[in-house]
Amino acid sequence: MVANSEEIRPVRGRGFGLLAWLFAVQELGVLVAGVIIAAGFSYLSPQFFTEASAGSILASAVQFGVVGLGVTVLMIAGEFDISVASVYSLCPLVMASLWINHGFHVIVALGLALLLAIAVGLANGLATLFLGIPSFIITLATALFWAGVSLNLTGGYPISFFGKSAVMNWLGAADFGRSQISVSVLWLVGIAIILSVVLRMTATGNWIFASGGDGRAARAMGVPVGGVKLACFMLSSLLAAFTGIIQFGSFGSATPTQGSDLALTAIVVAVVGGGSLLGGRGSIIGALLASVVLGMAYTGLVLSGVSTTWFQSFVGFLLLFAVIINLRMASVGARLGVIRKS
Amino acid sequence: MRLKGLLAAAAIALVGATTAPDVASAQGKLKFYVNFIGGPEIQFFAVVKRGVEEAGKDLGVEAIYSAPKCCDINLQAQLLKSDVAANPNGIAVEFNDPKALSKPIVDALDAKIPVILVNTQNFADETDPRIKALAYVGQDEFHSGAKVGAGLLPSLKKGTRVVCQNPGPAQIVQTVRCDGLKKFLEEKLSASVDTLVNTASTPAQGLAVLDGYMRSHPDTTAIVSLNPETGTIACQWVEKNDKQGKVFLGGYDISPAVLDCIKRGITSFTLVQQAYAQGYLSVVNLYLKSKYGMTPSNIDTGTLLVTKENAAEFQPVVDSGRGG
Amino acid sequence: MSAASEAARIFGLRDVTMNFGNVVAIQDVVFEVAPSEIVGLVGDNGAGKSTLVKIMNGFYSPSRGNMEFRGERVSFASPRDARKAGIETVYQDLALIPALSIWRNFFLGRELKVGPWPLRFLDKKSMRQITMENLREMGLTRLRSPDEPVDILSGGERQALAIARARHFGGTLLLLDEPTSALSVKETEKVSEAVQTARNSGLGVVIIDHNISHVHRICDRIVIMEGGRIIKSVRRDDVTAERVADIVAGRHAL
Repeated sequence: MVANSEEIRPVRGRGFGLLAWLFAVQELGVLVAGVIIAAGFSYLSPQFFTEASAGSILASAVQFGVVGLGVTVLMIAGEFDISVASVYSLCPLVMASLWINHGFHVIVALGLALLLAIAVGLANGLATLFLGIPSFIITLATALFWAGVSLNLTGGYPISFFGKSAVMNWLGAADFGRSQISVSVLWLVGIAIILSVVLRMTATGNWIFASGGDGRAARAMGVPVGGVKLACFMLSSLLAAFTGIIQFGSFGSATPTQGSDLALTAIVVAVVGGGSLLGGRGSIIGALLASVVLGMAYTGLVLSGVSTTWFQSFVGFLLLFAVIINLRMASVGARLGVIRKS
Repeated sequence: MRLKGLLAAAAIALVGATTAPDVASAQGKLKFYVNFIGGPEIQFFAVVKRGVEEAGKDLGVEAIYSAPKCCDINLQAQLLKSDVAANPNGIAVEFNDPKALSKPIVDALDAKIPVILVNTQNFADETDPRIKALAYVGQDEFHSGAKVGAGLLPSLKKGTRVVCQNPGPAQIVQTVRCDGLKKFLEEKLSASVDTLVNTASTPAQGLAVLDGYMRSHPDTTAIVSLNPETGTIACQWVEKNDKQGKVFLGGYDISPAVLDCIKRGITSFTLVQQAYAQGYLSVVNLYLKSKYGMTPSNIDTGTLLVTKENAAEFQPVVDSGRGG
Repeated sequence: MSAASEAARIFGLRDVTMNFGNVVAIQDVVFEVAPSEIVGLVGDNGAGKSTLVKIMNGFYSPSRGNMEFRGERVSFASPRDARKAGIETVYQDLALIPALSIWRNFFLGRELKVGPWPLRFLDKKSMRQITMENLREMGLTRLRSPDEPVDILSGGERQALAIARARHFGGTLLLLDEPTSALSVKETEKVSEAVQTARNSGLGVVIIDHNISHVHRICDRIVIMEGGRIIKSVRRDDVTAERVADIVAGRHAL
């Protein structure tokens, strides 16, 4: 690792085949955790592998995942966003208020709510870059501020939508055909695919990794680090708002008190999926899997009759487990001489 | 080696955390879920949870209290979805949001899972008629505001000001209670009734919120608190500011602190909706339905005002951790 | 004084002086680099070597004097300007991102793309291939794949990667500030090989280095600085390493 290390790296032997491939998977930790959890819960509860259960797991995965993906990208760029929880409750509330209480067209209300989210992200980014204060602190401050705004917007009361709306159906009110799986899963998958392609296959993606890996070095190579980080702040805020709006679509009610734990859960999703708190590393596929694993845990605990008050303990354990596996496997992989395609 | 050990520990922890209740449940045991919006971090919910679990033990069924950390309606709705997916013998739902919780309930009914409502009944006209027809275990909230208002009536003068401390506006029932109180006191005394949203998470913050209101509205002569936490805060405020006999206190639910305030004459009364009984009786209701096919009954658990006169009777209930 | 003839010169400083307030860091320096020439810049700490390099790469604007690059008078507003013109600097901290793969580092900020907008995706195949070719030419034959992250590379390999990158992207003049200061003998050898490869492909190279025997081994010309002035410029073949060391240490008359 250091300048003049002279250790000999063995060339990859033959016969490692599948094993070597496994070590090359960056998302190994979350994959292992997922397999264990799925196996454990399907043993404990015969309902685990049913359609209703899948619908429930995926509904949770959408909530953890969409916001988690945005935070993952931001963390790869080397920054944090604690305000996602507040944006998650604020923006659907703004949309519901404009649409239901003030008679705006639903699409206009939706657009304005998302614009607000982008503005919040932009403000987070500008404050971080120009004040030189760590984004963790900046967004903690804005999180508190916007949470207060949400509470005051309606005095703490929820806004509900009764009736039918095509927009709400597309946001998540509708299920696929006659199944119990909400169409909101499409948003999670679609966003994951787009972000994954951007990160791995475009110059922008390369710049995001570089900005978080070593901002000074990236700047020296001509990468517009400030612009890259600003864009990531806006993305994380936008996806947090969209998560809240999907929840509004799925359940029909927007409340200012929802999502208080979401900021930390989103960081858990990013880290369990292979991300680093120091920036420069992370995986969209990993974060996607992590959100499904959290969904499985949430639903699995219910199905096997365990009180969901254990969920937090479980998340803590999962976090540690996945991180240790990720670190261990990376070093085992390096010793075996496995190369991960990048 | 270390890795292996870790994997083993992981497996044990995962399975260990989840097998205990499963081993206890022999095949064929009836299984019920009681779905609420908050867990034991709120005293009221902690008592409901206890009622649910002790009913399960007494009846020899699996009775599971299912709730997120208070108070996220989407998380409650998602949990309810999971509860339905578990295909149990019955579900009781705290119907906090007639919109968000309707769909999972209808799914359950479609899957022939018996459902009853608990603690919060239906308040919306738009609700699915099948849900409107469900049995309800809990306080009759349409009339609880009037009951509390009637309790205050002897102490208040015409045209006075009353404040209703609402600790959780996301729970629709709290709004209904304040509205009921307002309607009753406006009619009887032409009093002005304000709602004070007090969602502070610590007693110190809560006290500051109430203090701010009381200083800016010095003509207030009664505080109605919708849960024991805010009720305790009101009691502390009166004591600190020496307002005994000038500002009257009434509220909902009971805790050791509230009972103490009543015994000392600072708080006039509290309407007890019996959280423990709500949890316990909803399991009984579902049990009778699935065991003997009986139609679940409506049970009004909130019929009693606890005052200085009958406080002693309530002491053992509160001491045993079953007062809520 | 100079070995580079007027015609062959790619870079020149004419009577350049640099003041920081009252402190004179560089005084009346005349300095030239020819294509395919490696110039070693030596001198004690504070002699002005780093300041001179920072003037050349646009980090500082000189207080007085002219700068010529490829036959034209130039002045750079920033290192970015200088880099655009073809002056590449390999910094001590290398400007490499450890967690990124070798090829992603090699093309960082200058990625190759294919496909029509908005589907302009990275041309990974070409970038992997070009990276490997360049590194092989630099003598890094041990590498198995351009997908390995940079943090598995040794210090010398990282220097070689940075030099290869500078050479590939049209550098005409390559500036190296203490490239071997933290390296073992073996690793230093890798850097030397990379520097010579760069020289052989026509670049002018300026190296600041404390290791005089290393400088003497690879440079074509050695320039010795003291107190902000150039006190000696000599062809490598006309001087021994010992004599250079003596001059730097002030033990020897000029």
